[in-house]
Amino acid sequence: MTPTAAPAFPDAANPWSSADRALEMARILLGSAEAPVGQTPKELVWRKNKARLYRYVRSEPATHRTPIFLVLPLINRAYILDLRPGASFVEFLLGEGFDVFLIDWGTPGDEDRALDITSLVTRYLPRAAKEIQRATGSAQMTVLGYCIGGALATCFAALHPEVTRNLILLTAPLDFSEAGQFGRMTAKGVFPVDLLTDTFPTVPGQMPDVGSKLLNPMASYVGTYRNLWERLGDPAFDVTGWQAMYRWVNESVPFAGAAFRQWIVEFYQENRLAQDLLEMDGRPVRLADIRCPLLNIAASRDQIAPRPTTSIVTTRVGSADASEILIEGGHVGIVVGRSASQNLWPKVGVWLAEHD
Amino acid sequence: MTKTKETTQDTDVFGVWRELYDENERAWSAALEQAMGSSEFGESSGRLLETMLAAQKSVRDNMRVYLETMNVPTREDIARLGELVVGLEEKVDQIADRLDTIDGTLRGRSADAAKIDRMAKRLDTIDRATRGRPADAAKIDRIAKRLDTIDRALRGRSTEGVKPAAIAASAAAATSARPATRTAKPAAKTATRTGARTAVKPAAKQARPATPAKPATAKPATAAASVAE
Repeated sequence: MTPTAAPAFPDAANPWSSADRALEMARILLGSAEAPVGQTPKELVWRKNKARLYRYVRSEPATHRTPIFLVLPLINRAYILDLRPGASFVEFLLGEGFDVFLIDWGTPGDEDRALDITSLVTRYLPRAAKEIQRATGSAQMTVLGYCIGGALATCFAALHPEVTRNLILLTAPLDFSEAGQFGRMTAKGVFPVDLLTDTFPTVPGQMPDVGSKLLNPMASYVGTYRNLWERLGDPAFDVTGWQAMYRWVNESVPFAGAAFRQWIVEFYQENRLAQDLLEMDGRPVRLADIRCPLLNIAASRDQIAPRPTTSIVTTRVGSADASEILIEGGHVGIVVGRSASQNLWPKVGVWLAEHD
Repeated sequence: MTKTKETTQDTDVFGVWRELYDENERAWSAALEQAMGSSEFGESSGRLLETMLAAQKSVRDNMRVYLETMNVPTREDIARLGELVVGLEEKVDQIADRLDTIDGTLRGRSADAAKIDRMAKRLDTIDRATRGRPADAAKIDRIAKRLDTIDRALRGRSTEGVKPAAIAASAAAATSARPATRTAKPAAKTATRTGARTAVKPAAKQARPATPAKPATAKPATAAASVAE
């Protein structure tokens, strides 16, 4: 796709250039809600409640036998790993010859107030996996989870080792003993999680979003716009790309009340998964039960899932083939940032090919 | 749009803002991060959130009461309907899961049935091959007839209330007067194994305990036993 050319500002000394820029800036910001994202063709394979399982369309048969099952965070839209052509992890995986499936959690409504993480792991993911088995004829798959989706993927892999051939975790917080600023904000006795979930059947998406932005308030609330302002006169500025990224960062999804409560209480406050205390439907969820090859990816400047929250899984899984790679960048940047296509994606591609 | 540079410097308020930001960004950022990283900030933000939630909850509760008074469905009413649909969908999924299980079991059984079919076909093949050799077939027929005779004899004893194990015991008792005493069953087996065809029938006859004194029955058995020795 040809990037939309930025308007030229030939005369920097023009007294109205600031006003012109302000108008252009407003146009870009307002238009970002409609920025084209998630354009890789996909077909619906299965649905349950708001969740949808998609299979990305391949023009040629897959050259690798193990399909990839992408498990996304509950607070993001499904396009985050397929932002736009040229900046799409999904597109990269398809190009490498993989059969790619993705579960889109959709937007929960008030009727989903009782939908918790246990339900998602024990009722949604196994059925989606079964549909992938049916669609591909492959009994096993590579499960790739990003952020909270990584925590869900971890629980799924521990409960269903027979299905999980490989597990890849992208900045997945699993150990909350040193959870950083998020941990302090959601601490027991500080964060009114019960009142919040009593008030809102689905926690508004803006709430976790504001929490994330408060981790780096100047960059989130001022720096973004200052950089946009600066680049408006740059002929090489990819406006569409900037809009897509802005849309991703700002388009949040509500969190089903019970799932939010379980995430805060059982994961953040009680740290059950790391302490081998987590149970789902009466079944213990143990990291040691994960016996498949594991690739754990952490970001060096990740404030949402800081390194101490992600690294535990590498040493605690029952698999002998567990490795961790540290990528330079932030929580979002390592997946779609400029360096992603040169740094993260090729590493994942090589690892996947070796573990097919 | 032709303006002088002097005017530019006077009116570029965004430029002023940008400079201000650039000069102070690091200091502000560090100060904010330090403040927000403290537990005091966490506690105060928690209290603020609690106050806002209490107000929000009050608004929602009042709105619900108002709508109920007006006989207008509330969000909760509509959500309850949605919950019913979601619950139904889960039940349908559970039924689908069970059907999958049944389907899997049936497929397993049909795999067994296919195995049995294959075995039957092989037996048919053997049968046809054997019938192609009349001498062997006649032999097999004779063996089958003798087996039938043994079977009838055994069944006859069973109907008289004597268990097969007891038959062997009684046969042994019948031959106890003889020096080489063995149970009738091993004797018969041995005889068959060694090809002493004549020993089979007497051994079977010997199993009849009602005639323990018959020398004709005991003798071959003894002979068979000696073969075995």
